[in-house]
This record gives sequence, structure tokens and C-alpha cells, in this order.
Amino acid sequence: MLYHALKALRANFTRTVLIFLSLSVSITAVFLITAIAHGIVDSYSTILKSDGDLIITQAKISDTFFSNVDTALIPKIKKIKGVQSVEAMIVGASPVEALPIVAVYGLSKGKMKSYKIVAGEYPKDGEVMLGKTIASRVQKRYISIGDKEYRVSGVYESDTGFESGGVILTLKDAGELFNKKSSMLFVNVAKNSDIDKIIQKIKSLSKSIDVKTTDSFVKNYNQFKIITTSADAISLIALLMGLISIASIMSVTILERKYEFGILRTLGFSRMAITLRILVETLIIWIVGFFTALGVSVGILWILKKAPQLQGYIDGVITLPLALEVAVASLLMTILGALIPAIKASGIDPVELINRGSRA
Amino acid sequence: MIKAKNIIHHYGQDIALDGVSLYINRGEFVSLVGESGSGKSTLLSILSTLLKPSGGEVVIDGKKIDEISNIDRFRKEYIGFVFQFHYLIPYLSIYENVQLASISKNKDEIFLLLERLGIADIANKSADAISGGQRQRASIARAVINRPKILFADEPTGNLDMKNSQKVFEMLREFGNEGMTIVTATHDKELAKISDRVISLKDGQIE
Repeated sequence: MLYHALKALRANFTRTVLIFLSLSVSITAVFLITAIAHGIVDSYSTILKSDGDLIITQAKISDTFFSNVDTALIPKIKKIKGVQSVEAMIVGASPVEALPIVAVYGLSKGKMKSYKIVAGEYPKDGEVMLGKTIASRVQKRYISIGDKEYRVSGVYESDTGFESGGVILTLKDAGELFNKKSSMLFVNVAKNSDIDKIIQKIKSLSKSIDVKTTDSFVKNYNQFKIITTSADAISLIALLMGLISIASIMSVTILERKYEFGILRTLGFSRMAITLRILVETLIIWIVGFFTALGVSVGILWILKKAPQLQGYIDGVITLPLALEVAVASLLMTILGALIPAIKASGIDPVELINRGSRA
Repeated sequence: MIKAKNIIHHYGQDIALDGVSLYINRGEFVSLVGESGSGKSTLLSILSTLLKPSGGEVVIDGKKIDEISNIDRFRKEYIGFVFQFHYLIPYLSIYENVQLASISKNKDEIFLLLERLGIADIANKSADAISGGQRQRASIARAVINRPKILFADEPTGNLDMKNSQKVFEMLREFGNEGMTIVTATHDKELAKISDRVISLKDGQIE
């Protein structure tokens, strides 16, 4: 059956290529959309998870960009039993030199030490430390961020695209730039501490803050939900478009090959056997289409990551679970797209073969 | 072998068959003749299990065809069919077309049959690369590869010249002589004389 299927695909070359293109384009779209969305979520999650067991943000805010937490709380939090350290961070975005938007991080001293320096030193007030990616594009001793100028103190490296393509200021400088004390506080607690109790005690310090474990914060962060839900919705549309394309091309193919399926019926092939033959043909195209799409997607993601214009912000990775998820979804799409035309083909009445002769 | 009792068939308001009854013996070569629209192709479709009649009953080898549980299997084992058009699968070779229909898939058996029909030398060619007469012989090979008990042929010479038409009917005659029941529909009364019996149809009835 496999040999016949390969011959049939070769004989119907144009249709085969069209189905292959529909499949591989829609699978590539799903890979790229999902990988990029997951890349954004993973990058920001890594920044949040890199330091701290608890995250404190302003209560009832939609995004950490709008969060403002008073750093005056830090000494009070440090006094709570079980708390080992508290660090502050400001997350913002601003034009840097000619670049229209760059991630700007304001960090307390302890938090800053978690970044690996590759040149120079950590920044003091009035200074800025550049991520490796952005440093390769802005090779100056002084740079302007917003309407202020800062001396470049050093360069740091990070595996996270958001960080490598960003800049770090002191908490004070970032606070002046964005007009806030801090976006969030990271709290480290001693091992075997009662985390729930610590959360309650921190919450009791101010009504305007929200405290969550880092894992809980990442899981419930609205922006992540919006990004992943949007990506899922767009992926679904891409898959549906692929499904419709396959179904329509297959329908035309089956119409062209109706006498072939009719003769199989007279030869005693069951409807199931004919349906299976068509599904095997489509599955062969799916295998080739899926792996082509995988290769193309990996290539595009690599180009996007290395593109200097994107500063490494787009850092999509196709993980094995993602590849398996897309494989299952696209396989279902292919089967669904081919199934209705295949069932239609299996139902072709062989009497039509006789009637064609009678009409001639 | 084949018993048809009071077969009625209509396409919408048009009556194609109007109470046809017949009996065909095992190994008999029967030709259904008649003008276009006489109902011979419809009768052939019904006798060969491809078309369900509007009324009446068909019994093959003692089995009522509307009571056969696996009609596909029955068709594969009992029935061979040759059409006016060869309907060979264009992307397969002649050998592969015959092999597709074969239950045993035995290569020697297929080549023996192709040799017998004089088309073994073109076994690896596709249907597009051979003549009309060779195509029809290939479609006969495909129809008889499983040694069916009955071979139905609908206007098998409709697209052939006189010489090739004669050859096709002689081949059918040979298979008939070996015990295969042959039922053919043709408008050529001269060719029909090769068969054991001729049944004439007119306006959906046996004349």
C-alpha cells in the first residue's frame, strides 16, 4: 500500500506539492507563533525566578510595568523571622540612543551582583551597564537613556534575550527615570521556613502590596496568560486554514481520481480500505511536511535570535514537548482534512463506470 | 448459477427494467444485446451486485445477494468485471494493476496470465504507453486473476476495432470453456454469436 501511495503522490505531483505547502506553511506558522510566545514568557519568567522565593508587587495592577512598591518596606520585611534578604527591581522600557525601545532594569546592589560582568564594573549612580547584545550595537562611553546621559561602566552577559538586549541602572537612577521606588521586591527566605506565615506578615505591613510565591506569581501573571492564549488562538486559526486547504485540495484530487476509486470498489476493495489508502497518501505528505516545517522553523528562530535589529528579544525555542504538541495537533488536522474527501471517495458508486460507458 | 426473478429498476420516473427474470447456468456464456437504453447495462450492474434493484431478487450460487453480509469480499472472490473503458490505474504498471486485484499476489501466476493474454512483454509499461487492444486485455487480466466464478463485461469491445473486438470475445470464450460463467452486454449482434446464448432486451424487458 505504501508503494502504491508513493506512486499515486508522484503521479498527482501538483496536488501533492499544494498539500505539502499547505501543511508545512501552517505547521511552520504554529511553531513560530508558539515558540516565540513561549520564548517571551520563559525569558521573563527566568528573570523573575532567578532570585527570590517571594515576589512583592503593587496590589491590583494589571502589569509589573505599572507596579510601584515603596522601598521603605525593605527594612521592615528584613525584620520578619525567616527572611534572609530583600532586593528591589524596577522594570521599564525606554529609548536608548537611536534604538526606539530597550528594556531598562533598575537594581538594588544585591540583585545586581547576580549578573555576570564580562567587561568593566557594576554601575554606580550616573552610570549604566549594558547587556552584551546591546553593547555590540552601541559602542560609546556615554549613552542617553530617555533625556538623560549615563557613563557606560561595563558589560554583562545573560542567556536571556530580554536581559542581554537591555541595560542596568542603579535603583536610584531607574527610580528617577520611571518616577517610582521599585516595580517589585524579591524576598529570599531561610530553608524550612513557614512561607505562608511570612506572606501573611509581609501583607500585614501594607494594604497596597500583593505577595506571592515566585512560582504562583509566574503561573498567574496576566500578561503571560494573554500572550499564551493569543498564541494558542492564532495557532488554532493557522491549523484551521491548513485543514481547509487540505480538505479542498483533496476534494478536487478525489474528483479527478473518481474512476480509480470506482474500479477499486468493483475489485472488491471495501470502503474502509479505500479510505485508508487515501489517508496513507496524506500521512506521507504530513511526515515530510512536519519535518520540513520543523527545520524551517528552527532556521527562522535562529535568524530572529541573531538579527541585530531585534536585540535578541525574540528568543523562541522549539522544545520536545512543543514539537510533540504541534505534531499531534497537525496530525489531527491532516487526518480531519483528508477524512471527509476520503470517505466521499470510498462511497463512489462503481455503477458510474458503467453509466459512463452507456453514455459514450 | 445466476437467478434473477422479476427484476424492476427505475431511475426516478424512468423505468429501466420492467420485470426481468432469467437463469444463467454455471459455465454458460451469455450475451445481453439491445439498443442503447434497452436496459442491458442496468441489468448487468444488478446481476454483478454493483446496483441494488428497485424490486425483485437476484440469487448467485444459491446466495441471495441482498443477504450477503460482506459484499466486498464476495465481489472479490466471485466476480470479475470488464468495462467499456479499461480503467487501468494510470500511475501503476500493467503488472501492478493486475497485482492490485490479485488475492494471492503470486508473481508467477500473474505473469502466466499476462503471457496467456499476450501482454507479458509490456508488463512494466503504464496504461498510457500501450495500445487500446492491449489495455483491454490488461483489464481482462485484472478481472480474471482471482479465477472468479462469473465474469461480467459491459461493452468490452466498445472502443476497439473489429480485429481486437474479435480477439477479446475469443478470450472470453476461452475463459468460458474453462468453466467461468460469462455475462456480457453488447450492441454488436455479430460478436454476440460467439456466446452460448443471446438474450435480447427492449424497453427494459426480455424480447
